Amino acid sequence: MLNCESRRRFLKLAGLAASLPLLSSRLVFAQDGATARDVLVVVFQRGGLDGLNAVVPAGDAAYYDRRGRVAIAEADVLALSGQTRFGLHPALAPLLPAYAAGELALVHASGAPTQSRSHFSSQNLMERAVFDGSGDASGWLNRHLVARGPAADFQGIGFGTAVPRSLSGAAPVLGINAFDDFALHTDTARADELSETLRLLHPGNSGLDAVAQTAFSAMSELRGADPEQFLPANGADYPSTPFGRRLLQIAQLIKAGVGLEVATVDIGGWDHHADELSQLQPLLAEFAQAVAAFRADLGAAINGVTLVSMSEFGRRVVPNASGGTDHGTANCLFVLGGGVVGGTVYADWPGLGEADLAEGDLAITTDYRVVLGELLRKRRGETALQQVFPGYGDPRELGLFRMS
Amino acid sequence: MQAQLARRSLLTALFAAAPAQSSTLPLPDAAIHLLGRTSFGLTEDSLARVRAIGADAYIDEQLAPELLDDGPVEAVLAGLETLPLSNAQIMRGYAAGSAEARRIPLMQLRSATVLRQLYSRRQLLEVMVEFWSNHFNITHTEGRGRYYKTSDDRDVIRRHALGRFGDLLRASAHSPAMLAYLDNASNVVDGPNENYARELMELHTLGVDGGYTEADVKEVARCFTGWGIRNHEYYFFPSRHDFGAKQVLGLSLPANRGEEDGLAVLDLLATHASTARFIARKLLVRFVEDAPAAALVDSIATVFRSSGGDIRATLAAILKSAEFRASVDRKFKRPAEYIAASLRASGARMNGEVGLRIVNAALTVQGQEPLSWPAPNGYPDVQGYWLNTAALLARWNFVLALLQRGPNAPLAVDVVALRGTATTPAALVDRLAQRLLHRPLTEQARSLLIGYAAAGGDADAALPPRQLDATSRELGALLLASPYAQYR
Repeated sequence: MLNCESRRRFLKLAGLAASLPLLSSRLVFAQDGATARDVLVVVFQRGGLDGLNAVVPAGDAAYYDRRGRVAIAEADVLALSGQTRFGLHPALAPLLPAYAAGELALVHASGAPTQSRSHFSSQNLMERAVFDGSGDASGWLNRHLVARGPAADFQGIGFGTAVPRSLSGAAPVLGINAFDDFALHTDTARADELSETLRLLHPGNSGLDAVAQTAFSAMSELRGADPEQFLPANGADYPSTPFGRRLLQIAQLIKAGVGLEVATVDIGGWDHHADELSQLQPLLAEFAQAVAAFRADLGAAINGVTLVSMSEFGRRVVPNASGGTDHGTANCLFVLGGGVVGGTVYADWPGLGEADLAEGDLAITTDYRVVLGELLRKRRGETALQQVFPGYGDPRELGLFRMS
Repeated sequence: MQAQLARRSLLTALFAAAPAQSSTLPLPDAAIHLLGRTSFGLTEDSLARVRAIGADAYIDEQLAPELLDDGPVEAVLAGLETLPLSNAQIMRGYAAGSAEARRIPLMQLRSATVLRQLYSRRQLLEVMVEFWSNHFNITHTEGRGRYYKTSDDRDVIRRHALGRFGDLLRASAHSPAMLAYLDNASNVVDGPNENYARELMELHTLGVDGGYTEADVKEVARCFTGWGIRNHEYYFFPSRHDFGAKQVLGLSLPANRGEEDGLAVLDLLATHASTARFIARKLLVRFVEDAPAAALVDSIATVFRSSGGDIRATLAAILKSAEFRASVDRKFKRPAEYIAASLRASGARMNGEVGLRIVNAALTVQGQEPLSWPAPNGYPDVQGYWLNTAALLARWNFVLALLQRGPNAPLAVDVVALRGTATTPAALVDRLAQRLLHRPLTEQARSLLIGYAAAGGDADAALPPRQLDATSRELGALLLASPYAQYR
């Protein structure tokens, strides 16, 4: 939130103290009118979420046999209607209403087709989504924006102090840490001239100049849109953590109608090699509270929004002696939105028996690109999936989304 | 409508051309380049030193930091009483105390890190301390790291930063902070913990493509079973060790050996050809460019290996290479370097703890809080990670605020000293660019700034005193915010 002092300077700099234009009444989800495109929010859970302890296969006896003291007790697992095998970690209770409303789906035993159990290689591969050995360093979301063609400054935003790999590439995107930081703060009487001089010091000769030019143009648009006028609605209660604050700001940008199409946000800290149960609980609670608040806040606008979470890998089925789990393979994706065919767990369940495991891990039976491909095609009007996921030709879809 | 069209075509142009790697600005000279890469920003003193003794002698001097008097900064650090304490002393004196007491070791080490980067004369040592702190990253704010990192910083990183890599690696493996951070302290025979084993090979030595397998990860984890912490120091627990035979990277380790298993793994990894290439490449990314050529990596790896992992010899080879001299403007400053260089070039005075807090807050906002990267791989050091709109805005706002503050502020720039005798717009721009950037501007940039300073008046007429002060501050901020100040 802007405090009074910085807000005063913000407005002064904008020269807008007298009259605030309310651009926000136009809730825009599709800029060109031809195709309605969802706003896509991609949450990356860095460190390796333990999907087995988040969406718990409590109905699979092998889970308790193998997980031992790092299992979620059967009595604590939240039942999901229509599911005999899966239930939720109790800290995910805030997501139950979305599940019941058919707006939340879970995709288990899914992930990126990599043998790497390195955090950094796996994140990099998953965010590039290039598995055909070619060297393209850009990310899948950026290639999707390139295919979509030039659009608003706010089309792609990485929330945080850095823009993640998934959003990096040739299409210009914004990094926004917080709205308050996305303005020039100066007390000089010549603020406008100073700002213009600084802009002209970046004449466009380098990558740095290009980013600076984008910053100037986006700053002026953000001032006009004033997204912070949109307070959380419908009793939405975001956790006051970086992840919670960033989801709130994404909701504000959606309501402000600035042309946001793709946003990324991270929630880290999932690498629980020791004492997993005590560490997982608060993180899942934060994740669930923030996502539930985001859904509530958007109200009917959730019909034009899809949020998907992913993590670089799941965790080993058998715990180590530290009460934690080491790096594994398959995981569980969370998919939320008005266009989601939810209220169910999508899983081609490979099982947890000795013979079912892949080198001790839950096997991947659903490539994450099956989910993302259908999402982009049905909710984002993507027709060039080969460009977004080079070398990937699986036509399979889960029926996870309705056509927008 | 016109503006909208213009913006469209700009965006189209951006789509067409991938962002260029480096600038097209007129380049600074060799001494400025050397100081940009081997320090946290040049000062008038360090520049005078390079000019006086020459680049090679300056490099040699910086590679022998023990011979450089660092009295003034040591005197300030003497007030941080937790820096010399053992883990046990910190645990007894602070970890068991109030919430405020529990924060003291972390805050003091963080302060010391920033103060040394800003004020130490042993700048290359500080650069390498930062490098190894990330290479052997321990998230300071996590778990016991907030207490144990003090000894890790002192006895592992600083002690060996310019020594031999093998010594550094062994010290790190035995460091309670690392044993706790990567869970080697709870790595036991009945359920080995793979965390340290994997990162040891992937991040500390061989690199992810260095030729190890998943089986090697499991075997190395077995080798380190029993390594642990007792009384807050390293201790080997035979009862927790797996005494079976092991196979690591093709090497057979016989049964019935204890901590020798882990020591043998460390020796094997320290001298491995993949390690030499991995470390050489990473040093080249730090000192030369984001994507160093394979031939250069090979030649520096050879120096590393033939010198027995001698970090000084390896650095000397890099810094005296033609590729280093040719790499001007190819490294984008990270926030810590940008903030420190802005403060050092402007001669900013830090008045007490509040000034330090301002610097720490800026590091946090810009995403590079000292010792706090949240994963074992350390802060990245490539432009692709650090350059984005949020980052530039945070940099611009930092220098705008820095130059705006009055002479008695907690963090103050003496603009009178900075501008010297310059009073006209043209002289002001030339003098401030010289002092803050030490590199030539394009004619367009110079005219632009003179035009700003003149504000419609004569470029060669003295500004009235009140305007002179404000204009100096604004020009200073513009110069430090400009592309000329973003490369190291």
